[in-house]
Amino acid sequence: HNVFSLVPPAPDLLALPHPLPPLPLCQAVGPPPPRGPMSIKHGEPRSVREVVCARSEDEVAQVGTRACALGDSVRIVGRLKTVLSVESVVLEDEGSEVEVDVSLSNPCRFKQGRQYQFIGELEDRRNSLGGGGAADATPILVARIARDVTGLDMALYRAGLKAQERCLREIEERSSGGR
Amino acid sequence: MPVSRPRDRRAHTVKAFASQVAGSVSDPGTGGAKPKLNFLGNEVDPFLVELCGIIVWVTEKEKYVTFGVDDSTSVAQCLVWRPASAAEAQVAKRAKWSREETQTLEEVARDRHGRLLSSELVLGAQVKVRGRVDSYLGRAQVKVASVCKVDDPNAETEHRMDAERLYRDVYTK
Repeated sequence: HNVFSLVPPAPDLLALPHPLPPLPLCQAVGPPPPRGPMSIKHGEPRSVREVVCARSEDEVAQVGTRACALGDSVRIVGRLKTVLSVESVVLEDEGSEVEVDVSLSNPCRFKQGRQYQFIGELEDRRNSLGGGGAADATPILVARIARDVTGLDMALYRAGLKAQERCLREIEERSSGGR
Repeated sequence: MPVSRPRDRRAHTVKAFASQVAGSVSDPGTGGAKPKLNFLGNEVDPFLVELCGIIVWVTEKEKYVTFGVDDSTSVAQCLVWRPASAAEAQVAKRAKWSREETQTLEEVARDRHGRLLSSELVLGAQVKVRGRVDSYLGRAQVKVASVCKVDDPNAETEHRMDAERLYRDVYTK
């Protein structure tokens, strides 16, 4: 007796259509790319003046590392000068102004004269502040996080950022020097 | 530098920056070995850390909630477990609690977790997070012991100054 002939085939499996195409052969790949939220970059602290002077990558290399390039994730603090619309506000700090697109940020009540902090990415758009030519296009911050920080001591804030920078630089030197 | 050792009940919480937490998994490990943690150039066990930053993302899953804290140096991934049933956790059985006490404990835990999600873990909130840094799938993660929202906008600045002072005067001595 052929044992295998006693085992009927599985008719349900044979009858099932295969909606999916055959899987490709597995290839050696690297680690999976970061998924969703884990690829969100932190906002580098910058002043409004540094953001307004954002240039192309070539010019950033000439100007220095503190300048911002389009696409960078930055964090800025300033006083709200004008609420242009539900989606757009103007922030000012130390004589410089920047337009912020808040349509994608978390809900926040914007009031003229109060201090706000935004974390977001710089984009190249024709802004609403004026100018008509292509040369007048200045960066706009597309904010994903907005926060009311009225009462923030700006001098202490800048001193804190410098202390943090100094500390991290020393840690980096220490770890690279120890290798 | 104080290093948290297993069963070292005197290990204290170090004030750190998110980039130190994110960069603490130096050796991803091979062959399924658990990655080693590195802090200030020393190989350490999972250590207690305090961070202060802004919540930039929140992901809710069935059994836990993860969120990212951005303190302008990096984004640290934090994890809060949802309250498990006290009966399932065998806590009530070990303590020989009555059924009413177990139910009350579960209600309190669920209520506290609900308030945490609605008021503390919101986008744009400035929070202070305390927890244990460990590695998961090759990334550093903070298993949160406590998180509280801080309304004072100068709290981040205070944390930066404190962390820098502690690094200079305590952690490297």
